[in-house]
Amino acid sequence: MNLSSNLKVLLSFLVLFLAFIPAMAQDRVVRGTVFETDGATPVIGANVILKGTVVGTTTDLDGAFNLKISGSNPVLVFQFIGYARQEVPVGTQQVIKVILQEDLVQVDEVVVTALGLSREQKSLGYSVSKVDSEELTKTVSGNWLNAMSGKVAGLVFDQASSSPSGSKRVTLRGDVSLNYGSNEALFVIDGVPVTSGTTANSSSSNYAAADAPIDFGNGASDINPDDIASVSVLKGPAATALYGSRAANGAIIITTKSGRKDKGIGVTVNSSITFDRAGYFPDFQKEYGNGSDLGENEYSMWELSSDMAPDGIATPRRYSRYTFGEKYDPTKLRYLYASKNWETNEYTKLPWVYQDDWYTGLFQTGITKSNTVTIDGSNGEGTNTRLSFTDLRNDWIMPNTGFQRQSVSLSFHSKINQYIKLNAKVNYYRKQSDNMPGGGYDETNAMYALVWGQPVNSIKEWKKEYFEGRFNAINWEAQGENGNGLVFPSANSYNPYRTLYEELNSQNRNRVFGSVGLTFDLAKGLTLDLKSGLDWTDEFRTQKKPYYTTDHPSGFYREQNTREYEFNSDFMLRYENNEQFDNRLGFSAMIGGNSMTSEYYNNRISLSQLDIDGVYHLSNLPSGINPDIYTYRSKKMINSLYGLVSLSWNDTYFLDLTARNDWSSTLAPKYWSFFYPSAAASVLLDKALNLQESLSWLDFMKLRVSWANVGNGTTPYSLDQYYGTTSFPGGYVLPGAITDPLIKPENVESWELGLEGKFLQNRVSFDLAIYDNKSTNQITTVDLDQITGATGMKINVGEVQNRGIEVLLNFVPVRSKNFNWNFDVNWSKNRNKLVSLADDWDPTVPWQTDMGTTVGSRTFIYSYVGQEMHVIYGRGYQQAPEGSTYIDENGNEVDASGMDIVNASGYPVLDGSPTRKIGNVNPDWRAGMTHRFSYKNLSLSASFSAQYGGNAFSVTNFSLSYQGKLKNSLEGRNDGLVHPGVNEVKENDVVVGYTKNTNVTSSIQTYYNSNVWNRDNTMNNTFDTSFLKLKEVRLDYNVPARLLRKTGFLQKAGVGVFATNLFCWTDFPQYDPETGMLNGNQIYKGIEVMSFPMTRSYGVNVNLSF
Amino acid sequence: MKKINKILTSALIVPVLAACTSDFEEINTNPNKTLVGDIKASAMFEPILYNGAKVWLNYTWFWNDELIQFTAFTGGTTRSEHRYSITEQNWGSVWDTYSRYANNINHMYDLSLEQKDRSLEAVALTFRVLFMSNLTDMFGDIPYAEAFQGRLPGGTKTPKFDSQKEVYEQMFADLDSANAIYATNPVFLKPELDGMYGGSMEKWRKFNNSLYLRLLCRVSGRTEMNAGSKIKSILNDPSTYPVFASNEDNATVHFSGADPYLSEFAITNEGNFTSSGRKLTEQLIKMTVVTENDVQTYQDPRLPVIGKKNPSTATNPSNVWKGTVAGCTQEEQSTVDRGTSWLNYKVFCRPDAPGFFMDYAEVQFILAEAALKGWIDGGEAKAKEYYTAAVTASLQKWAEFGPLSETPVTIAEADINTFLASKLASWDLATSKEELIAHQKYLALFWTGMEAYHEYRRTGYPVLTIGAGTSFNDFILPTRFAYPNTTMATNSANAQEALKRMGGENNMKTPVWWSKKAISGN
Repeated sequence: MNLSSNLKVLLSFLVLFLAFIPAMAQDRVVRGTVFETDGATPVIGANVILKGTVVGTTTDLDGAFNLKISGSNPVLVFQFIGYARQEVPVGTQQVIKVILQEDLVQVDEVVVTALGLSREQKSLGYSVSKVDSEELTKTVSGNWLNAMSGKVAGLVFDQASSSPSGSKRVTLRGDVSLNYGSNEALFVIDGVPVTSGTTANSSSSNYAAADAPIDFGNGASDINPDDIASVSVLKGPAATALYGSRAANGAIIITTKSGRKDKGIGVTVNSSITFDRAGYFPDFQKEYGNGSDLGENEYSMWELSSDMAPDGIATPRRYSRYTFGEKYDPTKLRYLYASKNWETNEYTKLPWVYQDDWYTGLFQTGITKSNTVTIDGSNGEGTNTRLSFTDLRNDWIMPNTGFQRQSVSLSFHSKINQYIKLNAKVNYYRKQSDNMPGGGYDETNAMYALVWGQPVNSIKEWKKEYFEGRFNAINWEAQGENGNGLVFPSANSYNPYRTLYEELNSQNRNRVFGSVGLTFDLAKGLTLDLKSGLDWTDEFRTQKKPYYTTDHPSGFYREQNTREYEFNSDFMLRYENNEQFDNRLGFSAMIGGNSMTSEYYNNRISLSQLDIDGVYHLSNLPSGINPDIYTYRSKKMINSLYGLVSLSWNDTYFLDLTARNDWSSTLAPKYWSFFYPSAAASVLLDKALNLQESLSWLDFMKLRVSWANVGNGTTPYSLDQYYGTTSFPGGYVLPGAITDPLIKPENVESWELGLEGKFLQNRVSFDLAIYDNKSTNQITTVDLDQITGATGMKINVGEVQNRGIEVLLNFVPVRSKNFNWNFDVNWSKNRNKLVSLADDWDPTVPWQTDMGTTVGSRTFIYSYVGQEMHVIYGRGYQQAPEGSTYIDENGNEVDASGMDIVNASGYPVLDGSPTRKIGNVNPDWRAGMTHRFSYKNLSLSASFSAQYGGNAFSVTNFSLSYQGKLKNSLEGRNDGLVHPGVNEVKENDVVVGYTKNTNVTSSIQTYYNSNVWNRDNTMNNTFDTSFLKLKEVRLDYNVPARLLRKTGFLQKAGVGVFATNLFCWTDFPQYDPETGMLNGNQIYKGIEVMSFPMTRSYGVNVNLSF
Repeated sequence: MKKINKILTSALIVPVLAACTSDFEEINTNPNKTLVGDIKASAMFEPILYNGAKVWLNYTWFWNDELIQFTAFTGGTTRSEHRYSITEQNWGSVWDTYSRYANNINHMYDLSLEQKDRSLEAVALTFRVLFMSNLTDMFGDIPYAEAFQGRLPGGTKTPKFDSQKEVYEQMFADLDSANAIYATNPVFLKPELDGMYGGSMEKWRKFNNSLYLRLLCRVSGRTEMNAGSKIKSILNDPSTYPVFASNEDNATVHFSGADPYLSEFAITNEGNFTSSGRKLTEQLIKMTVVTENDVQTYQDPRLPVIGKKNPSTATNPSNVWKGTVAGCTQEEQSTVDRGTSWLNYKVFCRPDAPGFFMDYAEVQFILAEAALKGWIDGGEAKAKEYYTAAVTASLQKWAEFGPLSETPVTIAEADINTFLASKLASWDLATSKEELIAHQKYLALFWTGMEAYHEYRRTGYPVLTIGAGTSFNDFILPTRFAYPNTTMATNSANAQEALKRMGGENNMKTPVWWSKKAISGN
């Protein structure tokens, strides 16, 4: 089915149903006012709904409403957060006064579940977490997901910390799939699945690759928080079974804001400004300057003949990027880079001191300005609309980087007549950046120049070199030999300012998504929804590299066009009847269908050389060089039919049964249809067991259980073998992998058991979930030995299990008229296990998630069958085996088991091969806590997040440490030290015993450089990633209503100040313990690769409604 | 209402189901690529020839030179191949690369059979042996008879490993088959594709048989292979077994320099290529420079073509050839590295720098050794003749590149004669002719794939000094590369059997069957 046939189907349905609509019934209008419990204070914004319909409105500033009603025995339902629902039969009344009663026991909370179905949370047999818009919109950062962090148990964000967009990998309840890229949660906006990923600019890793991937931001990070009304997190397959295959890893369901319900027009302005400051810098040592001979010789940046030197003393050039040099002393005078007067070519000796800004000076205060204007209106009769415009401008912490984003969002709801409603939402986003910085451990990252910079040179020297035009061909050609510049291309060192100002990575992203839907009230309890949704993203990127850049001495230019397109058409027929058996049986059923088409285009043209330096267009090629062209497009379609039956008895027992059948174009005819069911049940124990009679403090207790089975197809074109292309015209190579045309759909099966309770008039509540999730028949490429003719075979294979527990607690220690304090705590633990791989897989050999998760064959992320996935392996110190002993100075035998083996030079000996298990990537548990205080019109909130356990290898750490730039290389300078450990006693090359090491390190520099902090030493450069962060604090003041009324035009006014990342307690030494690396378009955890500094943000926002 | 429901239900479900899958197969047809099997055999040729040559260039630079002490990466802490810090990923990559090329060649072979393209059939056989011989020489026992079957329906994905002896026997049979096809002088359909021989079957045939000589020579230590008599029969039957007769016949891949025909180091800068890490070694300088009373008095005329003195007056004030110490310790590194000579990047880093699979000189060295050892007639006198021809050919080959050097170098006939009379290369002055042949062959094999490394393991020459920093392999120059993890994981039983047969563990210390160490035990 193509787009046009989809539309045709939709239109023919429309015509069909419009014909059946009966004439409209007689209407009349009811007016009224809603008051708080005191009977005097009007309630603003209370919902008033005509029972059994969707007709409704909200109360205005005076608590007043008027509503057109119809039907024989109309009943109005009044609802407001924090108050009990109240039903008022209208009878013959024209004016109604309603006094709401405070609801201390809220159990009727409504959440949005799969396919946009609103459900009472109490009836659900699976876990759903909800985050309200307030929590998301007030604190502005590049990525709204930051505000979600730590707030939902089981929700995990991984990031590479390499860009202002800060792409995040979002997973729920652990990695389910062996395909690392297939573990992310599905994002659904207003019932329409949207693309959340990104297309890589390069398939390289972020370790030592000149064409490193740039973090241009992913689809999920695009979303404008100002338009979000609420977010539901559906964690398990049972919750998402209706979404089918795509949501096997859970789903993030976003509901965007709609227009007001009450009659009138409103204008809201929300403005904020946020300042980002780089912080959490490495622990630099400030005692020894540059040099690599432990200060034996005087440093000199310049080679001066006697006639060049002011004192007539010829000086050889002796510089080093290492800082194992002379001790700082302002009375020592040395020739530094700054010694040269570039106009007169004269040299002056300068004091030998540490320059405070050599590293940190590159960073500036990032500023993000965000302004949103929203206009919404309603005619009070079911037609409402909302238009918002947001402009966000970000200048990031590195010079000449940042982005801007404009978004327009339009929402329109209208009752076409009594039976038909139209819903339309359209969003247009535009994101534009002149430069997204390059990341990773490579010269395209400006950080690389810092890490390899010289603490005796102020950052100003780099700045001057670049802005005074001294980064040029002459200095380049000089290769550092004749002392012309700070540039040492032979050592792959590049000026960071030039990197930031000339190696530009631009993007221009346009995205439209939205949906149009019609709801038909066909008969009492029978509704039909028809909906079509679209998500269309076009992105144009360029990458520029001038002459004399890494691996591109003659420059580089790339243009990349990507287009992602997804179209969904749905129908859903719902029937609801809650009136049987004296209203004790609740019944609802739904059948629906979906047709999804997705298309993807990625075209990339790269010039590996430029004819003219600094000119960037695709025709600027030297003769004899061809552009490198890559084009790819794909199409995929999934059609589905699904159904849901919900039963409830006495509002106490609940049962949901779902079934779905998918037809996926990615599989062979024999297997492209697959069916999967789910079941979820819950019982309100308080009611079923009459618990409240004996336990008066108990408000609510629910037990729930669910089971689900979800199938999945695969990626397009996975069934046949296709040649790889080469740069040779008409030249082909065999593909790497063998395919299996008869591949079966994947399967994920999950169980979840939950218990929820609320006590003491809701002052304490908890939600506990345990789950067991098993994925089998995974479609993945298992390795084959290339000698068989292929490197891999795409087959159904393996089993991955995730088991876990999630706890959510909420406390209300103080609840009074003026002062409220509540806080919630969430805690989650996931245990992941690779149960099996291919049948004949040797379990002693690891499975490597992806060849990218390594640091140059030194540190690996491996998974072994029978163990947790994603474990760090590498080298550590060799240690004396269990049972080893040595004789101490008093003649006593001392246990030496596990002690480091130290050689004759006093250096601990590293393992020969990187096969030692160093640590787990995944933490033992994660937790979050948010406190909320309110006093009158002031509110204060503080969010903490924490994790315990987990490890990450740090490239930043080894690269700074082994050069001697951090305090961790000070001990033992320059006299050496005795490394605690033992020496081997050998006879004929066989170890026969041990002695306690007393060998002083023969060179402290070699000790740190080649042993302790060497990049081969995975053990020492891997750190615990446990942390406790104060993620966010904010203080809000809302202007009281009575003051507002005096203004005559303001309806709401608030001002808030906030700060993020105020502290972070961790043993992880370099920036952020929540770290990862970007490879291709995937973020991998467990390896930190020269990420950018973690920032602290401070900001203020003002919110005004007219 | 019921009626409506019925209409509704059928109206909704029927079209959805009907339209459900009708064009799925069309949707799932790849618009980007060509199905395997849908091409001419010749479409496989260029990538194999040119990219294969680039692999040869890369490996000779990255592996061969470091293992065999032509160069040592002593510039930093990132690379330590010269200390034998070689990991599983390295083995995996080398194993995969040779296998991948052989696999593509094998596919070209299958296509050529199907399409009755006799010339590519023969070329595929020659090529396959070229790549597979390197695979076995690097690893020892490998699957040969059962290799590359996994791609075919029902083909084995756990191929049996053949012993290296069996591998060689099969390679000889393949070379014989190819030679027979070349003899029919089939037409190479698209000669413009052939950047080596322009489609000349006669030259391909010479290459095929020269390769035969190379492999015979390699297994000559194993008496059961009767390599000597086979070499003799080849030499005595030049019409059946034509071999290289001059440098004109060299298996040299010519890159035009126009994209995509760019050589391996087309856009590499001097820093990445050599000066920031890879230095010439003491070993190489010792073998190419005569030093008398601490003064460098004479040098191999090829040295200034392949190498470059360190231009820094600060670190190399006397402007001499200086080599670094392969396998030096981290502590020694900065001292031994100071002022050391580099590779001549002007010669090697060019878009049109050729790649070498095999030279005429090597054939002459093989014959010199054969004569010296009595496999062929002529004795020492004839051996000297072959030797002289070999050295001359090697110098003439490099003479061609002399003008490209920063300081242009010419190697005239007189220079060759001077060299042949010098301490470095004089036949008459040499105490061990066998060693002399091995030394000069080692030098002549410079920049020719992994050949010098293979030859070192076969002959034990030159006697190398193993550095004090080579603790990563317990001070043993790797005897082979180990089987990669994937092999061990997916074909464990067969790999274990092969290891058992080779008499060792899966490491870099077990000697391969033809090597001196395996034959003589040291």
